[in-house]
Amino acid sequence: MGCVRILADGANDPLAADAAYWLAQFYSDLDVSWVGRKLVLRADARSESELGVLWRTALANERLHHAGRSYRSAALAALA
Amino acid sequence: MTLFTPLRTRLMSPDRALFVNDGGGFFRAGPDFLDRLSSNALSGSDRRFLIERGHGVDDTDPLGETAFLYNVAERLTLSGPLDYLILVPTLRCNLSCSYCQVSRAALDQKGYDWSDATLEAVLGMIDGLPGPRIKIEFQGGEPTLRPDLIRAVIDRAKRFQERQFVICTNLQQLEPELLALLDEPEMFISTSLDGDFDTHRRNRTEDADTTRAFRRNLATVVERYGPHKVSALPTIDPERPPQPDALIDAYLEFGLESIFLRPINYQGFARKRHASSREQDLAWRAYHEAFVRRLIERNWNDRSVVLEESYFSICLRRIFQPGADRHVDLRNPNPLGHDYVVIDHDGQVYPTDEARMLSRSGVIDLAIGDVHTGWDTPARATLNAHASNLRDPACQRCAYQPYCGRDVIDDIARYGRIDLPRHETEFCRRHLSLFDLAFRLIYDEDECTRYSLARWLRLEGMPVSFGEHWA
Amino acid sequence: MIPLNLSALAEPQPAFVTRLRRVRSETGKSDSVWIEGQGDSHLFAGRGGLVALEGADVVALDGDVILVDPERGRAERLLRAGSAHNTLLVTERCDQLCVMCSQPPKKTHDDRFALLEQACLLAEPEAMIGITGGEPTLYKHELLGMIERVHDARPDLGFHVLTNAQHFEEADVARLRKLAFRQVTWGIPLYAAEPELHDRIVGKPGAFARLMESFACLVRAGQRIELRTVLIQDNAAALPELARLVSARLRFVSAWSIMQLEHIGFARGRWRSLYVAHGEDFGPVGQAIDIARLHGIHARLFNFPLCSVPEPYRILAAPSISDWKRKYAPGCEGCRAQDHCCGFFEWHPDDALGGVTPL
Repeated sequence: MGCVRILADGANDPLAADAAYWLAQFYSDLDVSWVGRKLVLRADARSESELGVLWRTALANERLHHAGRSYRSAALAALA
Repeated sequence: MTLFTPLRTRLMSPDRALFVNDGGGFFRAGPDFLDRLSSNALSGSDRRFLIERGHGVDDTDPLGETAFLYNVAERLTLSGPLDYLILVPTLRCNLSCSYCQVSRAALDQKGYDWSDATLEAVLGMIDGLPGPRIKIEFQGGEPTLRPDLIRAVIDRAKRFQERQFVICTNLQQLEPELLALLDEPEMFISTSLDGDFDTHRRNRTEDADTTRAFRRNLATVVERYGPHKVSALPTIDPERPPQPDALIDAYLEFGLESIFLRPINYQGFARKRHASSREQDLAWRAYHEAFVRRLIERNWNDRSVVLEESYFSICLRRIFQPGADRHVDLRNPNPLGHDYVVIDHDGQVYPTDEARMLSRSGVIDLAIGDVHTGWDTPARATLNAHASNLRDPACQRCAYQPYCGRDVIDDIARYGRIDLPRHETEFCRRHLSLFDLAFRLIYDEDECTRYSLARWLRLEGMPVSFGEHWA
Repeated sequence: MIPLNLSALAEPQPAFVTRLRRVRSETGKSDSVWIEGQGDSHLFAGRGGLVALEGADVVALDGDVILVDPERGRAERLLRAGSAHNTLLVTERCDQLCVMCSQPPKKTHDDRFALLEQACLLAEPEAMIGITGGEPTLYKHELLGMIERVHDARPDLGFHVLTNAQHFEEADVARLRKLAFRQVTWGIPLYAAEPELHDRIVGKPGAFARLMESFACLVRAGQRIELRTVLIQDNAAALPELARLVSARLRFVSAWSIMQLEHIGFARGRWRSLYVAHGEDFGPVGQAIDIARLHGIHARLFNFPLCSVPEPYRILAAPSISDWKRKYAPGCEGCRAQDHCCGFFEWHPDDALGGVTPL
């Protein structure tokens, strides 16, 4: 059973807060919770190292999502 | 030189993430690449790779944006004219299957067949269809109880250049009038085969004689027309799924190689007798994966046969070959009541067969009109307001969005509402699981796996690999 | 080999186009009707006066649209009746110099657009007419105009234009969106994913980059594109990489034709350094096909005799060699697949006709 505590400051960093929210949605085996400024990830079948990579993936995905919003809207509008 | 990277990512294994671009192209990479991408520190060879594979659009590249737009457009449903009809000429049935979703009518009941006026309206509607092709599926009840109605419809549809007909039948009776219909070259047969003799009897036919009659008739039609004209589907009780080999063997006995694993849904009669058919998640998914892996083993051991789980094959083709299938339950956007409709025994029009069954079981009325007065109605417009996954905040972040779809009716059937967060719906969880499995297999270098994937994707050869890896 | 050129004797006048008719009752005002003749010598009479032709029998000539050049004493069968392989040569000038060019370019241009347009108007119903060169789009304005005017009069006709696509621009997009161009397929060569390799093969620096610009215009104009790649030693190993490019960035192509080499033009003298004996090593071709087909690209093989292709890929091999330049090898005797097979080019070297296995 893996458990990591990540310093992420969800209260002041909306990107981290969103990433954590979506992490819980997309990976149903995860337990995601905040303890103060630390994000706690728990999963029965994932190691600590894996949970670390999972967090980086979630952050990257959220960053990519925001970076791409306007381009994507323009693209879909162009296709309409 | 700005590089736009329309990518979404999902963890595949402890140190590998899957990246999918908006056009559906994908690759796998490790955490170092992830970090370079996130911190805007892409190397020259990173950028070159991304651009060459359509994962990145460089604003100075004249073709980049056009190709990107094309690839995205290729993933979107282009709903054409109405050319696919599901017709229910009668609700009466000569069986009483335990899980029946349509609340069937008994053989001698009156008022459950198309009236003359309804038949005329259906024929008139067929006359007015604009395109050169048509597909008509006959459902019920048991549609073969009214071969005259089927005949009237297919004769009227002879004018179309491209025609395809499907009769969904329990194959309990095969009289000459029905055989004449089945003999039509454009006619296909769809039936239910739940497994071996006992399983089928328990679920559907109740006694040994009826079961024998069905099996005899199934053997007859496969013999007469060849296995490619016949498809069969099992309905599986997720509480008691059959051993994969037992189910596969039951199909192979009749020369049938495609199996669409369909868990019981709790509509109609199914609700009364199978109360626990709601939450089948993890156990079902484990069964499904074991089933697919068993197919891979068996395909490798016997190359003369290509077994497939039909829905999984559709998911694979959704990944690699946009437009290859027109499976109306998995597409995005999923327009309802436009390119295909269901016309019930009473002339009511529904957007999908599931919608018809749901309405039949009294849960909610999803009719969008009727065959006499049409179906361009506010009801249809309401259903279509949420027919796409493009604006859903979860789907927007999901790596599988280009391959996935939207099934408003399924949400209504299970939850009575369509605004639940995606991950709380079975549709989303099921497809996350299916695509996760698909990508595990895509990156499985085992030759047996590659062999089955190549056959399920209908390839002539066998690719050396199905997915790229970027260091 | 079917003769395309005939000797012709006609009254002195500029070159003219006419359609040959064997039977008087089917004759129209642009037609020349058969008067008399036997064997390969026949006399016709019509709009251009009397025309004596030598080189083909009257049954073969019936319905053909020909271009008579009284000054040179020649007639060219432009559109042969009943053939699916009619091609109009619009120019012999070209701005590329492909190492395997089958029609080596000339510096002079003989403007025949007006005559070719007349010929198109006389084509059989729903004919598909090939347009080739040299490089047809060196005369882009004349070419597009011809296609538009022919479409106005004969909307049933289709065109397949071979072009290096070096000259399409943004300004063409609006024009190409017109209905006339829905009937056109652009056959465009691309030899490699690597710009330097493609440029070297076509003999023009910058060709690859310019081609990508043209693709962008053509796609935005909704044009139908057939991508063509001739297999030579220079690009064989890189074919899988090209397949990846097509699958990722050129998904808009309606077909990708991988083509075996023709022993004609420049390829004749360079045969040994260009020809790939795919029967011995199908590897890179097979891999390229696998990649393309995996991603739903409509790849196919042109000019590959069926028996030389591994069995699973035979279904992709088209009977692609035009009737007038096709032959079979002595070893093909007894083969039951000849109807589906492209056979060999008429000018394929005799010593390379071995290795066939009747199917």
